[in-house]
Order: sequence, then structure tokens, then C-alpha cells
Amino acid sequence: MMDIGLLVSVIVTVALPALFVAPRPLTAAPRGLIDTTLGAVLVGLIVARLSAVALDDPGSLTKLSNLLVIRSGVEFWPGLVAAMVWLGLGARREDTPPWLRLAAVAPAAMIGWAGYEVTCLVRGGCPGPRSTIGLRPEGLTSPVFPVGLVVAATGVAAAMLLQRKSSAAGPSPATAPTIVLTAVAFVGTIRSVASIWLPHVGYGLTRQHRTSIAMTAVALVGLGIVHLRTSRRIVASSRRSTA
Amino acid sequence: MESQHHADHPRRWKRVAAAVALVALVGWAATRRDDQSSFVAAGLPHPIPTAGELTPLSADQFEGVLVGLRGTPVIVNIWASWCAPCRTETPLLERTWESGAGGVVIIGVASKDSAGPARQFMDEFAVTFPNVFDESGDIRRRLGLRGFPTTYVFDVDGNLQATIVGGLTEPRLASILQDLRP
Repeated sequence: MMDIGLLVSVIVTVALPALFVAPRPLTAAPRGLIDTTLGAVLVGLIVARLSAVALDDPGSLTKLSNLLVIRSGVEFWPGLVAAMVWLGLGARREDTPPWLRLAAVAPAAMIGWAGYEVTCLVRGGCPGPRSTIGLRPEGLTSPVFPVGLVVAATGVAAAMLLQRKSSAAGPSPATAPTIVLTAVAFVGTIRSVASIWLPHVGYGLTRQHRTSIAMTAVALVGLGIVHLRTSRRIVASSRRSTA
Repeated sequence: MESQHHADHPRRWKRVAAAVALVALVGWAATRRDDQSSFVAAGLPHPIPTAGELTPLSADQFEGVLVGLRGTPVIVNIWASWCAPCRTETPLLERTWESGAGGVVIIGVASKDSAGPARQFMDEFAVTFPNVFDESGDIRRRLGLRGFPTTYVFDVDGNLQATIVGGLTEPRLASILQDLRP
């Protein structure tokens, strides 16, 4: 049975960044956005699915037919990390600093993610807490606040901020790590906050909530380290110039 | 400069056309409604199957269970041991059942399956909510099943409120439970 909602989600997720993200030089990669990121997207998807199966249904790890059913669930963060590693390794093979490649792709990736979130509309409606204003997904009698749409809007705004942060010629080696870590922190924060409003079964934090908080913390620590290193470098160079 | 401007023009139109196509695609998919089954349970009430058991029931007996449960929202989940999305959905339903399900009764229906693998599936996921074995396939036919898994949501009056074909996600299930509560 074809899952139309999932199919539309994939088309929108891939098409949006390709359509609307201003083509930035992908630094020593004379190819388009999709060509550069296709391998990373596939690897990310495979790792995301394997992680979900390993966590929820380890018995299916040896059953290819079960593994291939993507609509049964994927784990966002392992998939994202795997895609980033793959993209970084590809950049290194082309003698491009990995951070630079990741920073060049980050805003487009965020737009793609926002596109996927918008398509909650076609995957049974966008769940959320009961609200007087909002949408009424199929099968519900009262309207709910569409958390997915707010996540998408915030994701687009964050992507535009990042795009603005890198210069017109694309990210520089100095700003690239900050751009990548800021993107991860943005996505982590947005997903963490959204998890508060997304309805869930039982009490306690969901896995999405916990992993998003953890990844935000990792990104913030990374940003702190980058900031410290940059400050030290500036101090050292000013000392050299005064000496 | 002028020629660059002219060169950008068709590209911009192509982008606008692609954007319109994307919006149309999302709009069509968002607004299309699947043919909802108009199933309404009828007949004499039948006792609810024992929790954690896989009870063979005829379609009439199954309808009787739903009739007997009027006054309580009911979630009916049709599954099979060979169905991959069912493997993701069943632990979620079990967790919902264990958490009290907000006063909602969950009934699983194993269909298009053999009793052995179905029982093994229940053991693998330590299922404790009531389950029915649809040996003849009449239950799924009466409900108008189109794919595995499918979840049917009945309100307190026994009206079919929603039919969810394909896997359930936690936010969607939680939204439905939230909606079923008075």
C-alpha cells in the first residue's frame, strides 16, 4: 500500500531547499546542492531507520523487509549525525575543510527539515494540544494547535538567520564551525520546545525530547569551545603585534 | 546587467511554477479524504475478551463486544504478525493500555494470520490488552479494512470517529486519546 503522505513529505523535503535556498558555493564542489548532499541524505536515512529498529524492535534488525519500511519510524538525531559525518568525509576527499561544506549546506538542510514538518498536514494532520484556534485533523472533534507548522516556521526563520550570518561568498573557515553548531543548537532547541506541546502517551519526557535536549547541550558546549579558541587566537595575535 | 536580468526572469518563473505545484501537491494531499467506512456495530452485547488473551471471535460476536462497550470510547487495532508497521505500533498501544489509556478500551484484532505466529507476536511484545483472533477474516471485511495496520476509533456512542490506515505515531495516538476524553 502506497503511503501518499510519506511520498509527498519526501518530495517537499527535497524540493524546498533545491528551490528556495540561494545557491551558495559549496566550496570546491562544482556540483549542485542535491548532487552534493544526496549520498549524505541516503546514509542519514539508513542510519535513522537502523537506529529506530535497534531501539524499538531489535528483533527486526535481521529482517530486510522490516528494515525497508521507513514509515514504521526513524530516529532523527542519529540520522542527522550520520549525514553530517558522511558530508564531512566527502568534503575531506575533495580537499575541502569539512566544517566549510557542512556550513554551506546547513541553511538548505534546515529548510528541508522545515518542509518535512509542514507536511504533517498530509500525514494525518498536525498533532498538538487542544486549542480554541487551530486545525482539526481528520478524526478529531476539537481543534488542536498545529505544533508542526510552528516548528516549520521557526525552522525557516532560523535558516534565514544562518544564511545571513555567512557572507555573500559563503561561510568562511573562521565562521563555519559556529554556523554548523548554531544550526544544530537551533534545531535541538526548536525540537525540545515543540516536544513540550506535542501530545504523548504517559508521563515523563519522550525520546525525541531527551535526545533534542542532549544535542542542544552538545552544540552549546561546542559553541563555547569555538568561542574560547577564537578569543585565545585574537589575544595571541594582538600580543604578537604589540611585541 | 540587462541581459543578466532577462536570464533571471525565466528561472524565477520556473521557481514560482514549481512552488505553486508544491503547494498544490500538499494541498491536494492534505484535503483528500479517504472513503471512511460507515460501520456501526449492531446485535446483542458480548463480553469483552480477556486481557492478554487471543480470543477467537466471529464477526457477530465482535460487533457484540462493541455494542457492550457503548458508553466507553474504543480503539480497535487490526494487526498481523507479518506486518512491519504493526511491530512499531503494538508497543505504543501496550504503553497506552498500561498507562490507563484515559478511560479508553483498546482491542487488538489479529487478522489474515495464523494463531501460532499471532500468539508469538503477542508474547514478543508482552501484550496485555484484549485481543481477538479473526480466523475467518469476516471482522476485517465488515470493518472495510484496506491495509495493515488500521486503527478504528469509536466514540462513546459507538460511532466510528476515525479510521487510521498505516502506522500510528505517538503524537497522533495521544491527540486521539486527548480528543476522546470528555
